[in-house]
Amino acid sequence: MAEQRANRDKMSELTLKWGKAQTSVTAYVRSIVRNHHDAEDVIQATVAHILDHYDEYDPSRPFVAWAIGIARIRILHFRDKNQRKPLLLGDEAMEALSGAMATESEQVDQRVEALEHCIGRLSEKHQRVLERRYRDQDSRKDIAEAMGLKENSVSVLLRRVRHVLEDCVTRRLGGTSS
Amino acid sequence: MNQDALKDVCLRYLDRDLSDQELLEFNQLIAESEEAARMLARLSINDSHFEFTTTFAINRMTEQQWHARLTEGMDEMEELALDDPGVVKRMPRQWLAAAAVLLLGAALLIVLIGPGGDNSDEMADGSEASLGPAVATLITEYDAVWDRRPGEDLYTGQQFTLTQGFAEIQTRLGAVAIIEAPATIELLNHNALSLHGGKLVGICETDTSKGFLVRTPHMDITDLGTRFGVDASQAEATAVHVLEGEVEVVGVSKSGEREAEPQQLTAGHALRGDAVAGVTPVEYEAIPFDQGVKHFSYRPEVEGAEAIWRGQVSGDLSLDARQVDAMQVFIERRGMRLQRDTAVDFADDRVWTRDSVPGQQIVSEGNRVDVYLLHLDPRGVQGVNGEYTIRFGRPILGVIAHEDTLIATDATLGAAGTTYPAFTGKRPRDGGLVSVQRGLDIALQERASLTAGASVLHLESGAVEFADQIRVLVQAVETED
Repeated sequence: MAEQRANRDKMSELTLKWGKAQTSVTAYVRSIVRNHHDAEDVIQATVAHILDHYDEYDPSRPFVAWAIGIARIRILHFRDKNQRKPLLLGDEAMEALSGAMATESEQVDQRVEALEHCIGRLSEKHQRVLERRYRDQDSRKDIAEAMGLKENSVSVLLRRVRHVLEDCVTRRLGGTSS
Repeated sequence: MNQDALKDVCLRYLDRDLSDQELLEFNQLIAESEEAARMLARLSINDSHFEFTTTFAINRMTEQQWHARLTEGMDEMEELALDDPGVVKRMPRQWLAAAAVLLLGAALLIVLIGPGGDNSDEMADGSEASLGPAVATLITEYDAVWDRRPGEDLYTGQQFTLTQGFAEIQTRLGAVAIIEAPATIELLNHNALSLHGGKLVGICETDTSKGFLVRTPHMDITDLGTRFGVDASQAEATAVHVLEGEVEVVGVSKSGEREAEPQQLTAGHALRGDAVAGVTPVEYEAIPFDQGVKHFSYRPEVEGAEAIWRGQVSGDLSLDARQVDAMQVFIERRGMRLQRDTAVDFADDRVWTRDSVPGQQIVSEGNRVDVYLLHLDPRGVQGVNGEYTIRFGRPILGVIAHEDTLIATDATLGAAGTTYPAFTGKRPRDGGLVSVQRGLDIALQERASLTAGASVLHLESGAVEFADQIRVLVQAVETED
């Protein structure tokens, strides 16, 4: 029973840590692995690796940096097994992004809070296009049809909205992001 | 490259919209420029967040509604159900009558016990012998560092310090306090506590909890039926912001004297108290208190995972049930390929009953699955006994119904961006505490079974007071990316 309880506690602790890290780890993997489904597979392999090796985690270090390190290993493993699916970034750029992601993750909670505030200030149309593309994962083509736009216009609109949001977040965080 | 141009090229990169030549140049840029790498990291985090639409809001609110039922009548139960699309739309009349009798009886018990009168569950061990009665329960915690555990009783006079994270406490009279570290609190009685440092969100949505008192060094705040945030993180001052409803505020001088005239404060307003200027209005701000609230999902609607209701069922999933409104079906994952063998509680023609608990089975690595969470929720009544038939239209590869298996798969199979409420520990009921858990509770003769062909899940469940959850792995349709 004691062992079961200890395992459960460990699992709960890990789940909480992962809950805080997953936005950054997911962002990291999706920035590098070209195909969405492949990225999901790598993320899942990362979680499995973390579960298997959690005993090796040094709690004096930031969990998210450790998790990004593991994601990087899994990405390289994916690349080795899938020579016909090249990654978007080479080794040096990947390493640079690892460091940058770990740094940015230090204030991810503030970023997310600012982002939610900024999303709330978008027009209804812009909120809707964001929801359809990211939350509902509708294709650009479907969004274009539903909103009476050209497909290319949806891409441009999405980019503009994200640009505006990042400007808003940067302002809200007092310019500390730039 | 200026900031705007840098943003644009990063966004085009994330949209997979760069030519081969541009991609080469972008690689070089990221490798050589820390500023560019950090911009890419930020924009990528933003994109990820758009997909993770906050926490699962199943539904600590439910517990609030249940407590509300203790003192409110049958009619309001129906009103509440109609107001909230997540709540039972129409309960059968006879069921309502039975529930109302039971609940009002329970309410009487609790109200009669009153502050200081409840000795049924105090003095859990000798170390607590010098303390007063148990007056609150630690419901749950998030990223918390302290020496407490969810489900623990908290006693009058007990002081404890939360050095990191968040904790949620419920008083015996139903007030909920979400506390953000670093904070020290002391339980004063069945509906009062003192706060030193940190932040607190008070939620009092029941008649019994009205009058919840938060005592701080600079002001006493008494709830009049509301949600409010208290910021005591600065030693020299305390602020209260009313998020909903109304509170009463009494200033406290440096010598500890209380002002004669209380001030009423309504939603959207704030007061600041300090030893020099006394209690004065300040600009209202709700945002600093969002952080604590969102970890505990006090939100009235479901966010994050997609909810499917009868009448809005899409695709090849259908749901027939006697108490259909008490069940929600969430899609947690779509088209996920299992990267490892995954243990489930049953995976073929099995029946899970009190007398027949199947051993764990394995869903093999490589399977591509959609993952659903079935959430059975009494939602404002004492319990729901339902029979449910969920047809998935595709083979069910595995069912997870045990508490430990649910917890073990939250990270890998659960909806991205979701913080799952524990639904575990001990909760107040009928003046005492009952154990609750999130998985199927076979002791209550709940039953789950898969039919031959295993695309249909039958479920007989009696979720009592708190939610039950079941995770189902269904074979996904193979799609091209």
